[in-house]
Amino acid sequence: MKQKSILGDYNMLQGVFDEMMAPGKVRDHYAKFISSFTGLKDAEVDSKNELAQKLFMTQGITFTVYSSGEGIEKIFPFDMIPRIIEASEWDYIEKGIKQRLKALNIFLKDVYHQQFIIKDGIIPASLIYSCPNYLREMVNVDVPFDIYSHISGIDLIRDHDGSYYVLEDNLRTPSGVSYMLENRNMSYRIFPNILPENKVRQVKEYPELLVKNLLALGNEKSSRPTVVLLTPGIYNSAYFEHTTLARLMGIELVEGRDLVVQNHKVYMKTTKGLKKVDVIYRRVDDEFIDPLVFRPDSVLGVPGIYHAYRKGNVAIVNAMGNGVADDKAVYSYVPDMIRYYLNEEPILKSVPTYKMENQDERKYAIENIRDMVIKRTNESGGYGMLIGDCATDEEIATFIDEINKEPRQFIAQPIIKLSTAPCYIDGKLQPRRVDLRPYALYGPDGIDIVPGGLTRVALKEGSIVVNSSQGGGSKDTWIID
Amino acid sequence: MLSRVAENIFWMSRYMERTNIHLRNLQTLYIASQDGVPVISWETIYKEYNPGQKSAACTGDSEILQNIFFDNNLEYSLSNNILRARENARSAQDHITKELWQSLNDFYHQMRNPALKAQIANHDPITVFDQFIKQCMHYYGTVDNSMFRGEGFYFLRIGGFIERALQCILLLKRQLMISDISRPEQADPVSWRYLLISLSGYEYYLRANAGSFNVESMYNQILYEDHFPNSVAYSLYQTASFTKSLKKSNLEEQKDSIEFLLGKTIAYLKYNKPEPDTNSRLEFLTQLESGIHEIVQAFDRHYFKVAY
Repeated sequence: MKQKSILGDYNMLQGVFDEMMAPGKVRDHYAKFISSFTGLKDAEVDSKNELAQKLFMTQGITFTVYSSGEGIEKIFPFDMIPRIIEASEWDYIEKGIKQRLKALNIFLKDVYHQQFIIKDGIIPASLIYSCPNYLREMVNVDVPFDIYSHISGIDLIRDHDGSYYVLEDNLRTPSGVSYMLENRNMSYRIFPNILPENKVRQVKEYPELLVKNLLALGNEKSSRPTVVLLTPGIYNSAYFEHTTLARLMGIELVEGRDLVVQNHKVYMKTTKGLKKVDVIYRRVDDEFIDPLVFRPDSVLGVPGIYHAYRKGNVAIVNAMGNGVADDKAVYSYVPDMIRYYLNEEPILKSVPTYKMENQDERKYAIENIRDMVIKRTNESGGYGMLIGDCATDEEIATFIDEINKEPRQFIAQPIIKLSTAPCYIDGKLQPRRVDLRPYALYGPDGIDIVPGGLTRVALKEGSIVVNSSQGGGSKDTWIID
Repeated sequence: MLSRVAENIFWMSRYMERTNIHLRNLQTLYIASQDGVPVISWETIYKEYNPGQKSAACTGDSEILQNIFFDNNLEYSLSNNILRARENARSAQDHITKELWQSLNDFYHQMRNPALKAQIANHDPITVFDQFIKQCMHYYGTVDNSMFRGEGFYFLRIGGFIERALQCILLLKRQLMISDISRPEQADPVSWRYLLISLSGYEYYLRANAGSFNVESMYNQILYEDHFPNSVAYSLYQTASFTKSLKKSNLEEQKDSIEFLLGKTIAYLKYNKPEPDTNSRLEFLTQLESGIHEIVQAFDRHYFKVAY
């Protein structure tokens, strides 16, 4: 009776794929969960929901916004209803991500060494050299095991027909994995026994897999390599994630000021003197990592670290210069990369992308701007973006002006009708748009993808922007056998 | 352990110890004022917390207590102490246990709870004191039961005991100014009793000195009694003991210098008897304080701020 009422109130959006509901019925892989959920009393559901929000705050699973003096604690909103994906679908996603990552890694090796892909005319040289994230400093630098992107977060979305598209490749310092882990801890508390009943695959091995890969990178240098996580510090919004990962991996969490380079070797300042560092999992962006080579005003990095890296005295994860591979204009060439390097057809689709530096594509995109999303090639987090169907005439005019001034800085993509998943809002289930960021770990033994990932959700009604900076939240992702 | 992290843990512990002692002292002063025997005026206390006059002047016990608890413009307010302790803990989060971090984080969120602020305004500060003192106890229990006995724990303990010694000296100095014990007829045993209560030492005093209210004995207990955990002597002995534990795993030159300074300060406390007049006692306490500050500087030099 109650199930009927919950589902009866659930208004699927017209022409949008819903993760839970097929027209007229609950999808099979959601059925068990929904039946358990509907067995809960309303007051119980409300109190569980409240508990979840409270736990995030008391456990300090927060990010701090330092606007004026003392920081303001904020939580990344959590929606208690999990997003459920069936195992067969996950296998397909996993294969697609592995294929994509292999190609992107070869591309990075190629673009910083022989550049066959440019010479063979697959990607225009101008596109690469005009990319602000292409680091000339990385040319002919050999990285351990030829792996550039050890940790990646590939953003996936579903269109109205249910097919998956890659929205973005995050190959630099993808964040959010701690929320994947914490969301799962929260699910255990909120839905006792429901996870094992649904045979949900585990995500907790992520830190072990990561530290295994990091240690493997240092094994050439030392039998007991010293691995550290380099954070920009407590003022960084992802600081909670840095501390969580360092603690779960049992490695030191260091700031730039804790490290010093002597004779092209990196050391950390300990109470027992200097200690050599072999592997750095850095969460500091390229431009801040070495003030002697990149931004001279950076106080977050370590002077001299670039040369220590170049000499092979320290491994840095992810490698520097990865930004060229996740540039939004280069993104449209990834299917070509897969065909070129792997001689395979891409498993995962890419969203059709119009490059604004191409005159015809620019003309088409501007003519159809109301059906397009315009993105800056070098921005993320939902910033620097225009969604055509909900922008004002003035905003559109400003964007067109900017596109015409600097076409290389923009791309256009048709508006994808992101799929919806049920969220518990105002005491009932309501559909909200979601994406999925699975985390892939590329180590000497191959690629591991933790089953699940972070489902980000646009909690505002009608919004398609899932980024936390734009009012987005997250939910646990269950892969069920 | 990273030098920065060691320093963060040391200071986190100092701020927490300071908060605990201030809370207990303020609570006792409040109770004294309710007993009708105010030891010291609230305006004088407020000045101690507001040396730079950054916070607006205020009057009345409720308003002053509210500010001492919650006003972030007040240099030494309790909320600033907790904020600083938590910021230090945040920077050392991978070296303290999750339980300890959560205990501190809880404390921080309680400090920002508007209901508690209102409770002081509604003339019920005792409930607020009780709640925060309980939170301090939770912190100490969590340290004892969850922290791994390694470098982090030792620095935490050292920071705490150094702060305790310094706070005891400050309280003694203030008390000597209020009540001149060199002239027994002017000494005020009631205010000394409240001081002992605030340091949780009154029951111990009664057991050792049944029936007698001798201010000299009270003074001696706070300064010299090595079985009384809130005495200067006990704090220094504990600092020395934890420094020795630290030594097992550290470089020779580091420990020698710190051990020497600790030994010097303890010897000064043990073997120097100041003249009984207040000025000599104050001078003695000031010297002792300088000795402790030198120890802190040695920790800075050898552990926290080593130049490379």
